[in-house]
Amino acid sequence: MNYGDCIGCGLCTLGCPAFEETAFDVLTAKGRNKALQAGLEAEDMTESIWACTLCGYCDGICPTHVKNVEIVLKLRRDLNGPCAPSKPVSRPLVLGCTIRDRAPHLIPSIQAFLRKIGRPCEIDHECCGALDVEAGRAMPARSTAGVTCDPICQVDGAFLGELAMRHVDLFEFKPPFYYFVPHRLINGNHERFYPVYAPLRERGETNFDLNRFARSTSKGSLQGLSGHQSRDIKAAVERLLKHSKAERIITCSPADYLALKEFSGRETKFVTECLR
Amino acid sequence: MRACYRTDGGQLIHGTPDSVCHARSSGQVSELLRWAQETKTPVTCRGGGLTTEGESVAKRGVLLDMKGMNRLLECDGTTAWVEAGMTWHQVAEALRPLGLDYTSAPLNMLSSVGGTLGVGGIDVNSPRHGCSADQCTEIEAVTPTGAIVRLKEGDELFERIILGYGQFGVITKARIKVRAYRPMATRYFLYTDIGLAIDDMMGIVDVVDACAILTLRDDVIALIVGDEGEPKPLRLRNTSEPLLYLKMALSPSRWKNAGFLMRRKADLLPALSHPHFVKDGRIHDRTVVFSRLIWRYWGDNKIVIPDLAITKSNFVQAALRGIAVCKRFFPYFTLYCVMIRKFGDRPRYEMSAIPATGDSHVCGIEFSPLLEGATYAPDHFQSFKNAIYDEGLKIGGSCYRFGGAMKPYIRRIFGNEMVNRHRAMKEKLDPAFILNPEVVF
Repeated sequence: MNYGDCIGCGLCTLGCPAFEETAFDVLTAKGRNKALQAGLEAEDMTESIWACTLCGYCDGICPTHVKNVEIVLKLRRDLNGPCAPSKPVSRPLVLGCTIRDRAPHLIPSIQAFLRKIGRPCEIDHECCGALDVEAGRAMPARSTAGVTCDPICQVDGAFLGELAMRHVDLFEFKPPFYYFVPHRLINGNHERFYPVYAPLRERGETNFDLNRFARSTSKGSLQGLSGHQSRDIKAAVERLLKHSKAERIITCSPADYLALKEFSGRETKFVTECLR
Repeated sequence: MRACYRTDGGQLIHGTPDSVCHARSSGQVSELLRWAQETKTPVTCRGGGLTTEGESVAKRGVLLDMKGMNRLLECDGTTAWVEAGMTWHQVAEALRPLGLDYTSAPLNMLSSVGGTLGVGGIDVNSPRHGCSADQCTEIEAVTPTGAIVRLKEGDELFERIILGYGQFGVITKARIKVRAYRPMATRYFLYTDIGLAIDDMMGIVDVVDACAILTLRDDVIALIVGDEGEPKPLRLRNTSEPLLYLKMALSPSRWKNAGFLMRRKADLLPALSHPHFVKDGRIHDRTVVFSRLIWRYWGDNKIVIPDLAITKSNFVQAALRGIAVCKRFFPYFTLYCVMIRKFGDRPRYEMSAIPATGDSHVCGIEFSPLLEGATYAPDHFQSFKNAIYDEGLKIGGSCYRFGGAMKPYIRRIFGNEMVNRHRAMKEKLDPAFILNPEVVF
């Protein structure tokens, strides 16, 4: 854990969902790192540890490359005690439990898109174990897949949303639209994913901030599913859309699709629902 | 929780408050200060927490964290009424969808509005628009005894609180000037002589939209010019880049420095021209870019930035004296030289970082060691800061960071008469002496 490298600049707070909601430094990466530097341990900062939604904004922007998400996961494991690695698996298509359990109506359009571009679309129902990792009950173990539909999944593979951007002509994004980009991917691997989604800024509104990192809906997958330590998602959605004039919202992030559908009051579509 | 507040941006001064108060409203600040007066409890204010001399570090009493007051309350297109705990980055984020921008903010946009108005706030816009504190036309403040007051430019208490180093009240809301957002094209011109570069900058300050000098040691001196409209032709005495490197190549004693400079250049230039922020030759969100660069390339485990605030006639001399000091203490350092527009003789300039002068502009130089991962004893840093300030005093200069750990210099800079007068004002407004008590007096 390289929390010792934190210089306390506070750049990490700018897009931190916990900070946006509470304005408490202590709930941010800066707060945790300063507490760790002062000798505090996981038991001393449980609220801060569970406040994190793992959106990765702090990792992307940190000038000294502190691995804040790794630090949170380690602290969660410290709270839980020893844990085993999650089981690595290799599969052609990983839907993720959000789509599988909460938005199965998206599956036909996802399959239709993948068929159009010649990608595998056999559905796999096995759990990737991401929620156990996020809860500190399992060590991360990256799996591989042909295509993965949810940035939350612990799987390396072509991301559905990225494929959609690379075949953007297959979709109809009727203006004025707001495209909610998958913040975990953008913030976690900025050099790779920002250029993929940046052209959308010319065509519509997005959740990129002035730093070119992606703001989140505060929908942490773990908190969202368990309800425990959940952030105020409705308020976060209102903040995101405060100045938006878009009539419809499009996204390729399944959990955020559900959040935006529930709280935005606007027509909300998953990207594959916009297939021509 | 209190451990999170144990140091500030400088990371040299440490202290843990007895408690932290996270204010969400002026009423809460008022309630806290009334209680503090009654119980004689010290209250230390903190916005971005980016002071470098421990000014926002509380070693006892209550630390008042203002970050909870962070909303843009209204904007009429020419001014914005904001809560003072907003960082300038938050101000920019809130204004951008309206096609607007702040007029002048500190280069480090993680500073809070309230904290900045208390000390100055200088960035590339300052040559044209003055310091951030001069962009404020109205404030809501809580006096040290807990009264909530609304003050306008020219009101006596307004002039004391603005640039008042947090001694005379807590700024809770501020009306700041805003303007249309315009991306900026930047050019840079290289020099090997700081005197020439400063002379040239003084010659163009009224012509260009933005300018500043940034150096790597005194080997490479870059005059950076920003244009919001069409770039204007400039008559400068700069050196060509190949000639600059040829001079270094011909001097074996400078090869080590040349290696350092090449490495820094390789880091910096791609960041300044990153395609995420540059479009059609113009930097979009320039201050975001600059703000991030500060931390990426100048941030270290300790941040030491002694500075001098001087008049135009002493600008070159102050730079030369400061460079000589830097070389005694650190192998690598940078200077940031700026000019700040001044607006007559406003009462707020008294006992502030804006030196008394009839000139249209005043000048500032920050001397920052580039630590390159090396560690130094705290005494080394303190001796360095003292040496810079001593040189400034010899030529009648002031400094920006005169509070906290640099407090012993205050009487030497401003003289007993002025300090005693301000202290008397402080005692009248703050009978129990509870508000930021160890920062200035």
